[in-house]
Amino acid sequence: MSRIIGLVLVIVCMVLARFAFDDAVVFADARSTLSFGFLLLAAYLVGDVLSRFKLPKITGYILAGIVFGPYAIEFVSAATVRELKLIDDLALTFIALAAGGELRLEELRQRGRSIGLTLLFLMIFVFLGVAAFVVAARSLLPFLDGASAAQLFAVAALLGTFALARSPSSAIAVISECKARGPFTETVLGVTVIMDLLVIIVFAVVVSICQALVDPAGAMDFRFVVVVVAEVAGSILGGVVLGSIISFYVRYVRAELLVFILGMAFMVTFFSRQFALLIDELYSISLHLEPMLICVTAGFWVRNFSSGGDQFMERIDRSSLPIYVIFFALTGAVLDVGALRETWLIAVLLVVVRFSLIWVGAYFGAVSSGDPPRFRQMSGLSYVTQAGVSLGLAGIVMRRFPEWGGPLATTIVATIALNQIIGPIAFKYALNAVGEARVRPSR
Amino acid sequence: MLKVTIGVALLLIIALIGYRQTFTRLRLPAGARLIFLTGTEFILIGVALGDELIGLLDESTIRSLTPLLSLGLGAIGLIFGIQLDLRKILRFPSRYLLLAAIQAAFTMLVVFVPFLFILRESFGDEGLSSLLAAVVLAATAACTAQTSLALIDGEFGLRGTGTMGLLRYISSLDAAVGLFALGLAFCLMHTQPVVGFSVGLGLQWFLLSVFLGTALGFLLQLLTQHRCSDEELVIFVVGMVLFSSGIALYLKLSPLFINAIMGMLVVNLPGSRDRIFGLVVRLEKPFYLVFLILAGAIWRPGSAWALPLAAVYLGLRFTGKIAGGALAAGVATPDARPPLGLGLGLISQGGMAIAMVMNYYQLSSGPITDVVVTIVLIAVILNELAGPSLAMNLLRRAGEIAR
Repeated sequence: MSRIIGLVLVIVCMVLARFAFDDAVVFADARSTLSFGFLLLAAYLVGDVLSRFKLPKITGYILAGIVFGPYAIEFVSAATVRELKLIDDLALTFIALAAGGELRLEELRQRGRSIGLTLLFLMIFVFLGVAAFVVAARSLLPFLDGASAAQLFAVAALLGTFALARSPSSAIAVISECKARGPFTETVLGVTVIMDLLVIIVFAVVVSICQALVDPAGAMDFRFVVVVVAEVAGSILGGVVLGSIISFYVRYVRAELLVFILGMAFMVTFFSRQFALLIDELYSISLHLEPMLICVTAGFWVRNFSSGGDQFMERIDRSSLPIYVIFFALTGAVLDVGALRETWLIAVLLVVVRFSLIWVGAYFGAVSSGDPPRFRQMSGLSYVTQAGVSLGLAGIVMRRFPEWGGPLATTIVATIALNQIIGPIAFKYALNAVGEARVRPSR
Repeated sequence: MLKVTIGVALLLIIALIGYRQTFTRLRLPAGARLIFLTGTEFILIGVALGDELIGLLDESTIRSLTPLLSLGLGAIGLIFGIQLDLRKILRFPSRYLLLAAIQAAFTMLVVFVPFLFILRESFGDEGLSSLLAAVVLAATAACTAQTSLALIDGEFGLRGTGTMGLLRYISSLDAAVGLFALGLAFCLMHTQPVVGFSVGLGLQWFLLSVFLGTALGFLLQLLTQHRCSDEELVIFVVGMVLFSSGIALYLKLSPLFINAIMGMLVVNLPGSRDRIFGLVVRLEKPFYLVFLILAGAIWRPGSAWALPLAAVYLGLRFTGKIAGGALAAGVATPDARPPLGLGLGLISQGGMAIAMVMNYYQLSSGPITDVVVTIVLIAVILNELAGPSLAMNLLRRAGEIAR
C-alpha cells in the first residue's frame, strides 16, 4: 500500500512542480533532471505494482514511459526525452555489457546446435511467413493502393525483415528480474543476441535489393551491404579491445569499477555517435548498432576470457536496476502510441501472425535439436520483444523510401509498441514454466 | 579519434590506480600521494576532457549530463544532511557546536565583506550578481573537508579524541552555516529578475525550500519504511535525490540545501536510516569522483582577474579560519579551551565547497560566475594540498602526535 501512496505522491509532486509555477520563475534547463528523477521513481513503482499481478516489472517501466511520456499525458516532453538521449545511450551500453556477460562460452557450446537450428527456423518461417501475409493482406495497407508488384515485394520483404528483429536489452532485463539461469535461458539469450546481429545484415541486403527493384533505373547498392558488414566486423573488433581493457582493469586495478565502466560506456557512446555521423554523412546509413554490439562483445570477452568475469558481472548486476528502469521508461516514452491509433488493425494482425510464426519456428528448432518437450512449447514465447534496433531501422526505411517509407515506418512502430508490451510478459511466463526462474542466487 | 580514446582511457586508469594505491596505503611519493588523496586528479581529468583541452566533454555534452551533475550535487547534500544525526551531535558538549558555528560564521564574514567590495569594483554592479557571488565565496570558505583529518586520525590511531576529535566534529558541521547562507541567498535572489528584490517573497521561497526538503524526506521515509531489497533502496534513494534536485533546480533553488534537509529528516526518523546511511556511504565515492570530473570539465578560466582573486580568497579564508578558530577558543570555557591555532586544522576545503560552487554555476552564468568557479577550484586544490601538513603541525604542537 505504501508503494501506491508513494506513486500517487510522486505524481502529485510532479504535477505541482510542472504546472503550479509560472514559466518566469522556473529554470527550464532543469527539466531533464526533474523528468529523470520522476521517471525513475514512477516507472519503478508502476513496475512494482504490476509485479503483484505476476507481470514483469519491465512492462510497468515501459507502460510508465508511454503514459507519462510525450505521446500521452506529457509529464516528460519530447524535448526532454531528446535531452536524456545520452543517458539512454549510456544505459544501453551497461545493459549490453550485462547481456554479453551472461553468455557463457561453455554453455553456448553445449547449446550451439539448438541455437543454430532455432535461428535457422525462425528466419525461414518468420521472414517468409510475414512477407506472404503482407502480400495477402495488402488491402489493409492504404499506402499500397496502386502500388506496383515491385513495391509490394519491397514492403513485404521489409516487414518480413522487421519481424525477425528482437530486443536483447528486454531479454536481459527479464532474465535479470527473474534471476533466471539454465540451458533454456542461455539458448534464448544466444538466439536473441545473434539474431540482432543477423537482422542488420539481412536488412542491408534486403534494402539494397528493394531499392534496385523500386527504382527502375536503379542497380544493387552493394556499397550499403559492404559498409554494414564492415561496421558489424569493426564493432566486434572494438568490443574485443574494450573487453581486454576492462579485463586488465578488473584484474590489476579493481578500484571503483562502476566509475571506470561509466567512463568506458561514455567513450563507446561518444565515439559511436561520431562514427555513426560520419557513416551517415558518407553513405546515408545510420544504424546506431555499434554501442550495442561493441558492449555485448566486450561483456562476452570479460566473462569468458578473463579471470575477473564473476567480479565484473557482480558489479554490473548490483547497479543494474536503476539502469533498467530508466532505459525501459525512456523506451516507452519514445513509442508513438498515436501510430497505433492510426494503424491498429494491421498492427494487431502483424503481431498475431508474427507471434504464431515465431512459435512454429522456435518449436521446429527445439524439436530438431532434441530439446525437452517443455522447451519446445515455451521457446516461441521468448522471442517476441522488439525495441531499439528496430526503431533505428524504421528510420532508415523512411529515408530510403520516401514515397511510402513514412506510413510503413508508422506501421512498424505500432507493431513494436505492441510487441514490447506483450514480449516481456510472454518471456517471463516461459521462464517460469521451464523452471529456470529464481535459480540464480540473489546478489 | 583513436588517440583521444586511448588517451582518455589511460587518464582514467591512471587516476583510479593512484586513487586505489593511496587508499590501500601503498606508498607513493609524498607529492603524488597528496594529489591522489584529495581527488585533485579527477578535477584535472575533467579539465583535460573539457572544452579547454580535448573537448570530449563539450558544452552540449555537459548539458546532456546535467542529470548526473545534479545527482552528484544532490547526493553530496544528502550525505551532508545524513551526518546531522542529532543523536550523534548531542553526544558532544554543546559548546562544540558553538565553536563550530563561530569559526564558520567568522570565516564567512572575513571573506564576504572584502569580496563584495572587490567584485562590485571589478565587475560593476550587475543587479545583485556581485552580492550572490560574494555569498557563494563566503559559504564555500566556511567548509572544511573531513577526508584528510580522517586519514590522519586513522594513520596515527588518535581515535577522534582531544583536538582531533574537536577538529573532526567542527569539520562535520561547519559547512551547515555556509549551506544555510547559500540556500537563503538563492531564495532572496530568486525574485530579483522577476519582481525586483523582495525580502518577503524571498523568505517565502526559503520556506518553500524547507517545506520541499521536509516533504520529500517524508516521501523517502514512506518508500523505504517497509522491508525493501538493497536494489530497491538504491532506486528509491537515487530516484529521490534526482527528483528533489530536479524540483530544486527547476524552481531555481539549491538542490544541496533541499537534499541536506531531506537527509537530516531521514536520519532523525526511525525506519531505514541505518540502511540508507550505509548505502549513501557506499555510493559516496563513485558519485563524488564523477562529480569531480564534471566539475573539472565545466571549468572556464574566466578573466585574468581570476588568479589574483584566488590568491586573495586563499589569504582571506586562511585568516578567517585562524582568527575564527582563535575567537572560538577565546569564548570557550577555560577548562575545555582548544588550542589557539585551531584554525590550522581546518584548512582543507573539500567536496562541499566544490558542490556549492557547482550549484551556483548551474543557476548562474556570465563572467563573474567563471571567475568564482575558478577561484574556488584553485583554492580547494591548494587548500587540500596544504591542509594535512597544517593539521599535523597543529596536532604536533598540541602533543597529540609525535614530532
